[in-house]
Amino acid sequence: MKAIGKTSKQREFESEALPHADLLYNYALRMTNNSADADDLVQETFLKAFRFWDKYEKGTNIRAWLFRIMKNSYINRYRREAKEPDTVDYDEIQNFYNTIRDESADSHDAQDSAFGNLLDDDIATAIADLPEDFRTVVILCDIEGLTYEEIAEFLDCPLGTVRSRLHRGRSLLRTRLLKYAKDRGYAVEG
Amino acid sequence: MNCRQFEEQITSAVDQYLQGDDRKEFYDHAFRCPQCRKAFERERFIKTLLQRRLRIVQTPHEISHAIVAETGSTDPDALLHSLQAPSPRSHRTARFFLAVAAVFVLGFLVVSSPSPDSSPLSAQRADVIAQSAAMYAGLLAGWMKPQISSAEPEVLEAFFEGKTGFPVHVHSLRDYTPVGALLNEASGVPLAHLVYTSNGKTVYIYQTCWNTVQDGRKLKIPDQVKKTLCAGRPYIDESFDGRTFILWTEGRTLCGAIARMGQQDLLSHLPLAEASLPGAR
Ligand SMILES: [Zn+2]
Repeated sequence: MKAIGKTSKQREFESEALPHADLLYNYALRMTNNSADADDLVQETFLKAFRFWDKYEKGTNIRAWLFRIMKNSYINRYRREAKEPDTVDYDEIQNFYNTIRDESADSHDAQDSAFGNLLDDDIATAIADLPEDFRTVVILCDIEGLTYEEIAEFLDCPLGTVRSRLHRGRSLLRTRLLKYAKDRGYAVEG
Repeated sequence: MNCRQFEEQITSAVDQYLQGDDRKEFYDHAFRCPQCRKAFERERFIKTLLQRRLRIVQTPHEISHAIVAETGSTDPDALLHSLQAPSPRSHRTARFFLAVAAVFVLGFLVVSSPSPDSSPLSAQRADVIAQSAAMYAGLLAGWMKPQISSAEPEVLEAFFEGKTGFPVHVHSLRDYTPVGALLNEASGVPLAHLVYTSNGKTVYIYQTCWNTVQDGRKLKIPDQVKKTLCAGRPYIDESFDGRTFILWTEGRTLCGAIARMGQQDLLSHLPLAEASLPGAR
């Protein structure tokens, strides 16, 4: 039935979906911090997208649609064995983290130059170790350069949530990078 | 604009979303208040660091070619299934426990009698000391999320009500107030976790079923620790890199406390009966 040449579905898919491969690939790469995993995740996402292509509503945000497929694939693959609470109020977490942040994080403040010595791999690892929700917004905003509006649409959440997760995510990342810098013996201001 | 309002605007400012008066007020405050300015510069620095160091990479050509080939093949679903085959184990989980093991390299973390049928990972998970240390690290680092946030002991007690099979005690700690709690399980045994704070310092409390720990099949504890606890005394260890770990029992509940402070300091906050306190460990 589809032996010769490309079907219209294939042509449409290739011209509308495939141009967003870089967005997905970079997200996958930073989420997993592993290029083999990123390769698999991107392929799986596009194959699913192709399979459900008729479910995609033309004219809506295709990047958001593809992103959600990838996010689901990611969750299915990497959901942790330990059961996590699934109903979590992020404002509460925000308050909670602000209250209980590690005392040690405050006691050594670093010169920004200490970060200069860190390897790109250290930075990538620190991102990959962030809790998933914080990791996602940091990758989408700071690495992929998406706007708050687009991230909110991707995640189907309010703008305020994007902003507060970014704030918290960057701050957690800073704490981790400081720790790496200190572990490596780089000058960290007392 | 006060410092609290400034803090709420930092992220918008870093991402250049502030306009007009908001923007002006923000930078006026940053100019006048060195502490707030520092906080703003820190967040902006992290963003710049990521932009500079982790550039966008192009999708490898093999991947795009593979996708085109696969969507054009007669059976893309078969390929999809092969890609979805579950990975052997969650990398993050493994890394998490490895990190915890590295942090708490302690003699007593080693399970006293290795059970023949379990991997080191599961043995470690069954160890209540390793478990509570892991939770403590997880809460501080953000791996673990509180399910309820409240300073009211009654609210926290109600949260655990009927869910554990052993009484969860929301203690009154001297000088410390509760901030949140969560409940999870290991090998089907409920574990209760409570966090208290005071002036930016944290005391973490772990509780589980003492009978189950004594039984030793689902949760384990080193023999020497069990002996101390069975004698009605608390088990105290200060070798956690500036943190102190104290275990004690209260009826059917095994309680553990961890905090970054010395043992006398931590003991002075805990509601342990004077009589049970030893001169030393
Ligand atoms: Zn200020």
